[in-house]
Amino acid sequence: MGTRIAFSGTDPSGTDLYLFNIASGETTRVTSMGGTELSPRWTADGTRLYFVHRDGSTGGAASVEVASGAITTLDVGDVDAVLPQPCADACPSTSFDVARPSDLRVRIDKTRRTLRVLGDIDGAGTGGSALIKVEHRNEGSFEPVGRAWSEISDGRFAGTFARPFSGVCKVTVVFPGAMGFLPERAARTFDCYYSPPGAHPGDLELVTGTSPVSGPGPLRRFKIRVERRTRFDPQEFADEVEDILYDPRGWGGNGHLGMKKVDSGRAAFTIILATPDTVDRLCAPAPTRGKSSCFNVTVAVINLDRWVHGSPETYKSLRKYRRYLINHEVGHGLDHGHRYCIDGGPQPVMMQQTGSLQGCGRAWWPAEWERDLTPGARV
Amino acid sequence: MHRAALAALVAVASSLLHAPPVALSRPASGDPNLLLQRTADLGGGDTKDVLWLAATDGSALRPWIPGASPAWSPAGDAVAFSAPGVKGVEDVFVLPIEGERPFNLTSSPGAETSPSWSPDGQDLAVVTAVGISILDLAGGSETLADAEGGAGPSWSPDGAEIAYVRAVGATRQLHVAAIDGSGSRQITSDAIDHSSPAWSPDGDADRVQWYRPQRNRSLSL
Repeated sequence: MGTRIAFSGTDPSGTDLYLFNIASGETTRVTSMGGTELSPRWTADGTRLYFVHRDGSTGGAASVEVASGAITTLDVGDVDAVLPQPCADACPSTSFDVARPSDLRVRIDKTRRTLRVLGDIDGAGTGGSALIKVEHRNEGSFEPVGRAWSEISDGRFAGTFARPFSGVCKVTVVFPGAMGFLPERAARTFDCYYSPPGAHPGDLELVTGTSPVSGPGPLRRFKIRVERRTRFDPQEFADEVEDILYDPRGWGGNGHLGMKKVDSGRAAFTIILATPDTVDRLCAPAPTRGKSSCFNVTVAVINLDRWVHGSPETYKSLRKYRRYLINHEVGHGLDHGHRYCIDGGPQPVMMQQTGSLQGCGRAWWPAEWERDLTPGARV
Repeated sequence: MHRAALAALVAVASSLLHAPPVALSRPASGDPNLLLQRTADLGGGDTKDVLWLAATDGSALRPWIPGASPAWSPAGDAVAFSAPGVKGVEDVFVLPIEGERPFNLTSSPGAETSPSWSPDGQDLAVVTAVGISILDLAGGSETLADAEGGAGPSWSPDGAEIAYVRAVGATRQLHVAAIDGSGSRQITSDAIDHSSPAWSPDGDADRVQWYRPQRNRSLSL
């Protein structure tokens, strides 16, 4: 007792535990498990060594009875150190309160534009910080939405994020700087959408009701559908779309076309508000990548993400961007292709204005000359 | 690092230590616990060293606090460990197991790691940029073992010496330094690369003092 020094020693045969006897100067091997044995620590009575055992990439904890060489492994997973509490007969209690993952609750408050993550962890008290990370799944992989630090006060913490609009969201809470309580991560996965029960992707609700025709001119009937998963009020979306399409500055204004919203029979095109995943499906093979809107054969597919967040790079006003978005996609429905800007004069709404203006000016209503070019329109 | 300069630093640090040692009643008894260090995956490639507690058989595994290179106090009532301090470098913290917040024993610009308790629970040997330094927790003097470049300190059960490893040629060899500063000697010289020395205990628990956290104390090594 007190005369030996245990150590982890490496020689060409591997890394094992050894004992060095100070009086005799002899070194004897204690373990030869075939893996790597590291960081020996004595029990208080000096009979046993706890150590880290590594075999390949995995590590674990074990102990060896020094006199017999008998090894006991411990089911504690991968460890970097293991130390027995040094008290031979009676140990101080360690029955302090430790918050466990099950004690962590996370609530998500959703508004149209934001996600607010509210956390509550039992026994954490005040102090320390939580790191909240939000990711959303985009084309199969999770991508970051944002991360926020929150001070922990009375066990509570919170963070606010721009609301992502694609698929499933994941919230991860980590307590990296926390002292004295739960130091591990806890993840919660939730649906970013306001999904009503039973609503599945692509479940499109037809907006009922027929509106009067916008004015004289050749009739263009259209329908409006809203994917239930968007949780948008279909009537609210329809009202805004109709306001745009019935506006005298729009495609039908000045007697060019008679726009009419219907809920049955034939229609020239259908305007659909959809979540990004559904947009990608309805727009295929157009590469919308969950980010763009499109017009495809007969449907103008409006990306919920754009409808809610707009295109901040090109439009400060969400109202104007929405006018552009509807007029642009409906323009495709009226057989307009894309246009580039012109020198002088009113700019075309058929120029792409999401993400970048490509050196051109903005136009959220069709130019008069553009309306005149609508096939079948009364000029 | 020159010993004279370090001694001067230690002297400054000593002046900050005036809290007298306090004997406490023995806490409630229980079975020994295991202290474990594990790597936590924070996601995105970030990891963190975290200390866990478990029963002796490995059951009742539960996370405790972030930290690395832990060491039980001799009475098993506190843990010293290293963790990033406010300056972002590794400092040595002490946390009593009753759940008080840990406090930082060191606040130097350099890193301090691998604490080892003296058998009476009143001192800590730590690895610093210059070797092995001794922090006197009870408010007395501090001395420096003659152990420049040393790592992995382990106190002898009589408290008179510290074993450590230091590179000698291609391998690390065991050394022993007297804490009275009278010198250091190499005790092994074979082909084995030595690491993590652990001096066997002598089973004499009488001189162990129960640890008590003392606030408003900061060492500047």
